[in-house]
Amino acid sequence: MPLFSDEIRVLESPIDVMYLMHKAFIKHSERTELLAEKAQSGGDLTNLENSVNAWVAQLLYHTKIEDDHMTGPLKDGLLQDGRMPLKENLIEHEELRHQGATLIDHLQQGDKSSIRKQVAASILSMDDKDHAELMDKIEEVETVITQAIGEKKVLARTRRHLYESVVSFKVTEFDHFENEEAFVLPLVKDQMSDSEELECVRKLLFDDGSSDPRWIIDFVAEELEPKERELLNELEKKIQNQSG
Amino acid sequence: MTYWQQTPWEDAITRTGRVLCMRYYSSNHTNDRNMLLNCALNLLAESLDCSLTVSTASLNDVGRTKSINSFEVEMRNWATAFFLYSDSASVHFERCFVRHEDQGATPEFIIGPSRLSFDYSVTKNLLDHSFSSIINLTQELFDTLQHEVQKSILIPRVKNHLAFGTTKIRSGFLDHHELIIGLSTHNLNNFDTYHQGQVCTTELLDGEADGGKWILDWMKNHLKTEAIETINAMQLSQ
Repeated sequence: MPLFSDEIRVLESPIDVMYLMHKAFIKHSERTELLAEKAQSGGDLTNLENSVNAWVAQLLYHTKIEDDHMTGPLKDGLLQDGRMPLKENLIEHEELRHQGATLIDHLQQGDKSSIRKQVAASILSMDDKDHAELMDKIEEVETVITQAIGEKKVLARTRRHLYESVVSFKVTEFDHFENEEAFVLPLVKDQMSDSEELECVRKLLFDDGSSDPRWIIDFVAEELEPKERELLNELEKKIQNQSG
Repeated sequence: MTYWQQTPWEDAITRTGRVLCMRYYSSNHTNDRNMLLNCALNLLAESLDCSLTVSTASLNDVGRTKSINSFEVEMRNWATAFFLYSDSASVHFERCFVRHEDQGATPEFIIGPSRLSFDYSVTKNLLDHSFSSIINLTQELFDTLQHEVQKSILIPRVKNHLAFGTTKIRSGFLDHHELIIGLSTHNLNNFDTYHQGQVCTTELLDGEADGGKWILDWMKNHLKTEAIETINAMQLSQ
């Protein structure tokens, strides 16, 4: 199993396109993380917003197609530690969707003060008996903090939490890709024929329901090294041959 | 055994009398939002923040110019400095905003210029919770170091977890610090009085077995020139 930073030189099986896709997604998420890190010092969020939207859109489509057309038809296995790879994969997809939605939510809030939300979250994690008493004080605490630290710091706080969400999403994505490559791809190779794999790959790379069906493959190709792009081109030709 | 059992944080937060304040500022300065930047609590906070940022970035150097053990040492030093910070924060909170009229009586918030009033126990709960969440995040990081790093080799997945761990600690710590600042500036007069004559500086340094040398050196390693000069001047005056 190659590292995400390794150059991929061969696709032994059509489903190995996942290595290329995962590598492309990771490159994009690392770049997004840098944008989020810089955004902590202020500045316009447009680039970060575009990058996050593209990232989340890719992962939403990717996980849905995997659930429906890759892992869906497969029979689950049992690992030595008792975990079931396909079941775990579904749980990880859910987590990615949840975190993606949280991230988008963070961005949509913009630079609005999120102190109240944070104080409320911290209160909710405390003992029940303290909740009601503390909830009454949220507004006061929020007012005091906002007045005391000033708008500039409130903005920094919002951006800091946005960055944390981006890092969290990236870490979850990274772990998921590694797990999928180690435990799910072998099941795909065992249980699917070459032509079934190719059809699955076609769905992963081309969005039949979009006016621009190439939005995924083009995104992936853009992130790859020239030789890796050649591998993707060869695979596209195979898909065309099978479909044609 | 956890790292924290060696240094129980429950004791750390209740200890008082160790606050570091590098300069006294007039009430004109206390009206400035940046006033606390010149207070020891803020200098400590700035050092803690900077230390985390540097340690996070240095994870990329592990296996090349740095070992994972040196990262662990940095984080242990960070934790030690954080305990000193929480001592300072606790004293600031108690001294500046709480009136202890009779021994044994429930402390009350002093009504500040903003005329806001809080219930003492509610606010103390909030601060304690915020503090313990940072401790929990730090413990998680040490657990990751202990259980996921094998033979001093840092694989990318674990590096990500450690970087995310320090990011969460930093974010939680800065939130906590802002909470302290928010509550501390609630009563500016008391704050001003408390910081007269470098009392808090003396208290901090006297409270340390080495006269505060370790923490001051640690801070100097992480602060910018201007802040280091402040510390040097303070050391000379001692």
